[in-house]
Amino acid sequence: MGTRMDIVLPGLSEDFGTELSSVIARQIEEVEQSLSVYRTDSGVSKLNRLFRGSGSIVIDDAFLFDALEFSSDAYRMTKGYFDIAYGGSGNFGQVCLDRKNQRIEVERPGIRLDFGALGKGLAIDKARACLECAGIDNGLISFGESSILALGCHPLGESWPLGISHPEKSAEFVHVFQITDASLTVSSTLRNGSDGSCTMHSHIKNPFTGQLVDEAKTVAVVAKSAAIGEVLSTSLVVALDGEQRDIVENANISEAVSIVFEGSGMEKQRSWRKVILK
Amino acid sequence: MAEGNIEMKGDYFGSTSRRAFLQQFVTLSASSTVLAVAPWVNLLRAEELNYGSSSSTVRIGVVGVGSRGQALLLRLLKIPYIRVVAVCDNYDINYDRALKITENGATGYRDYRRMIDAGNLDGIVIATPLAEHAHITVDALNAGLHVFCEKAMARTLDSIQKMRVAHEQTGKILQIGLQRLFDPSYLHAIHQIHLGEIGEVTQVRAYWHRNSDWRRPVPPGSDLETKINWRLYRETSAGLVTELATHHIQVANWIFGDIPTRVMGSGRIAYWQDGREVYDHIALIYDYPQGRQLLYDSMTNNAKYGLEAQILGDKGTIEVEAMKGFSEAPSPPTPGILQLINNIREKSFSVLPIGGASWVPELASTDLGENMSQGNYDSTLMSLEAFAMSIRRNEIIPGLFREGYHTSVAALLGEQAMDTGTTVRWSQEYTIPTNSVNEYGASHS
Repeated sequence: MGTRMDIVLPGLSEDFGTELSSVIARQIEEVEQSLSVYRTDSGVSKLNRLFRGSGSIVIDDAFLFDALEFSSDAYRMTKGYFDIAYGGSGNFGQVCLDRKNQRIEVERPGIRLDFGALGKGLAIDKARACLECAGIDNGLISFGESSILALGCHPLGESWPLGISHPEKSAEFVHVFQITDASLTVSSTLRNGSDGSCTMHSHIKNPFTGQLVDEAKTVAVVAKSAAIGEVLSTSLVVALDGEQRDIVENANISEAVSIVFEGSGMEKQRSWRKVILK
Repeated sequence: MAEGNIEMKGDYFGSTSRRAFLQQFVTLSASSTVLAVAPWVNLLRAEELNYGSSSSTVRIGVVGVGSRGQALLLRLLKIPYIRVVAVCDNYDINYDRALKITENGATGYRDYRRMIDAGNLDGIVIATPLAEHAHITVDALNAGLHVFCEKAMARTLDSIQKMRVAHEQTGKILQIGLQRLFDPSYLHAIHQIHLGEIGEVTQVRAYWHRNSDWRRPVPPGSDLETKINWRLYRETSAGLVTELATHHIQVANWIFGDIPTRVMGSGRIAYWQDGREVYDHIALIYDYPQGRQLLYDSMTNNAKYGLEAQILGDKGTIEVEAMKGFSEAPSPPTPGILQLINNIREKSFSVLPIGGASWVPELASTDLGENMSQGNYDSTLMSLEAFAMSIRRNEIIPGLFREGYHTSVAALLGEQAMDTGTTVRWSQEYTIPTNSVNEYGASHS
């Protein structure tokens, strides 16, 4: 998915850790092969090409089909805020999935799908299953430090302490999570540059208003499933304040925090206000 | 007159892409390691390649205007200070096409001797079938002409030697057409290797896999099969080893800064049972001093892996055709994870800082640089400009002939190894020694 993965497994021998990392990497490879738009031969890339000409396609990639069903459920759960479709005049609401025949139908060809963040969440969930199968109780897997599995606890504590840094003052935390056996997912409209600067990452649109999200906002979600965490964090960063609580109300997550940073972006230190959604 | 004041002929390549290409040479010429292995880079810096007045136009004849000859001719026609005065081919279709390409601006010949005798030439470019390279080259050199001869120099070791002797005795330029010698991608790679970026290089692995019968169409009912498909018959060709392998044998010699001590190999006709005499599968091992090796293979019924030269060092790898470099060292962790690891080691229970949105990480591989073929300008054009420039300066470019010569010898020794099933040793008679401090040498026991 174009994101770096770090695996931290304290207390293991190098051989075992290396072997486990290879196993996890192979699992991630399968996710990539189905869901990564960075690969021209992935399942989703092939599907996107087929969408140009046809509205009804049989999918023989089982994992891809499962991911499509998950996306469909997520679309409904977030009232349309989580939408993996773009392009043409499509949104994922127009997609029909026929599980019996493993078929996808769209009303208007030209739609394209991008699993993006969801792919990372699904990959984290697969990696968690690997670790648990291997009898690992404690470990941390980070995808680009925005999707993080915190299994068990830090070797020196009873949880993994993960803190959302102030974008311009990394030593200051705007919120700290103490996480055990869950995933933390962070979505943000801010992007840190390699020079330490912090700017708005202005590509996220509200799917209903069509407007770009113009708030400097970071949302962090803790959930047992990283995929669900991704769905929620992505949706909540786009959703308007009043709608956020509706989205989290019935979601299978344990914590959700929304932080809005205020300031022009040219100031050195933005102020911030935090809302605990769950 | 500086380059910018001359109107570029035609639109095959633009002055912008040529300038961008040449700018690479300006950069590369700042590297002493590059200059040590490719002294011609200094001569090819942009400011050296000014076009001058029309009196220093270089008059060229092209002998052999088949597939490769045409490609060279098209490039020659676009270099403003080169005038293609004559073209020569004894095959009607090629002859007619060559005249058409030059818009009848060149005189046509079917016999290269008549072309040479007609005079009015500074040099010739030879792109005939391999077995004809030697006698045309020797005759041209003896007639006082400079020669650019396509690889792989000649069909037999004896012919190669005759070309060498003629070059040394006449003092005329003899440049062999191996364009990677002028490719900034390769020069960048060599620069990085010599800086130690991939550590000690002990092996080069190169391959060229295609999926094609390598045939050219023959008019039905004609007896032109062996003439047109000369690459498939032993009298006129050594097959894959001279036509393809030479490029990467040259690269390996260059990377190692040395020439092989011996070669072993196997060649087979495994797939194309169509009457050809040359192997369609070859596998060669060239041993170099200090235990280094070139492993090379080529085959013609699977193109999945294409073309690559892998340079393997103890600190990293370069895939030079793809312009990719890889480190043997694992990538460092991201800052937050690094902090976590350090905290665990220091027995500190600290909060792991999580940054903003996802970022695209530094990948395990790094690009060595942009694709150096800028627009339509390429290393073959550069090699032809180098030839013309050395004619204008009346200077033999140091080290250049030795590259082509050693490569051509190594290729034919490889053929011998495959044919005999024995290990063939490099004989000292084939070694051209270093002549000056600017030329890197080939010395081995």
